[in-house]
Amino acid sequence: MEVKLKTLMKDSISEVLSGMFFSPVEFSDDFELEEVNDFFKKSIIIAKILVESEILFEIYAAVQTEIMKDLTLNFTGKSNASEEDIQGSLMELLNMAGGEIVADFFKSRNTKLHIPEISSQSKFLNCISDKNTDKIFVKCNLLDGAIFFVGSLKKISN
Amino acid sequence: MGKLTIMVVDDSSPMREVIIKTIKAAGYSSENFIQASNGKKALELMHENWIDLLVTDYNMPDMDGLMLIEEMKKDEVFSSVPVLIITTERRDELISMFMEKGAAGYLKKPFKPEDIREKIIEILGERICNGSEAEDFDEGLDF
Repeated sequence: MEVKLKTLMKDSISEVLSGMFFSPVEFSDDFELEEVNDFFKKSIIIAKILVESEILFEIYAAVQTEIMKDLTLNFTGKSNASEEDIQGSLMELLNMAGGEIVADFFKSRNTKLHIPEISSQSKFLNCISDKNTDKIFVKCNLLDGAIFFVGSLKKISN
Repeated sequence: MGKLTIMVVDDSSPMREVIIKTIKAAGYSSENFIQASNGKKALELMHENWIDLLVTDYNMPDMDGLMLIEEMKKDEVFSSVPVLIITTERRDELISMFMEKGAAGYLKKPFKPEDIREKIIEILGERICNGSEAEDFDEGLDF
């Protein structure tokens, strides 16, 4: 399941970033926690989206604010981007990628794609270190930086 | 004919900008655009403005796109406004529900300018693109 979801994550992220944000994309299969810690020394922005189905699948995206600003300018076509624009663009990136994943993986009629939200560094790190969930790590390399995606899988107990 | 008034409803402000930019790139650069961040606000604005086309997201807080269509269908005037749903949702049963409730068209995100143009022509007819206000469509335009 994780392998298929990881492939879907890459495919959907790639489609959205290249099609809507006009950014070439390259993936690294894994990333080290050290790399993430270094990353947090800069100004970053984090968002998440939840897919609720027979499992809970939460996807976090963490990116440097400056990188996301450039992507936002590509996305909106505007000459400047406010903080709200930058946050909204990251959430929309997750929303579109999440929609693709739901369509291709979650067949249950009861699947719900929640509205994306801005998250925090502590929640992102808690997600990474949570021993009760399976994780999918995807590092998306862009021209000037990277976006770290973490998918967290949890079975719903009845 | 005069300018069209197109309302774009999406809880994401950048996505509203992108949709408007894309519609403009598709040849409708001189139309009037009104923005709303959810269904409730869209209904409020509809009482103040005549709308020729409503382009809405599905998944929004307060009132989603489906509830918005349902509310519009209860109103004698609003029920005639064509609705194009643009959403990340691709599940067949949900798309069927959009159409059953009265949506005039459906488009998935991510989308291309030509997809929007085709849908608008499908919904409003060729006359819109042949009107004096419509501009040439640049096939190679990156939005």
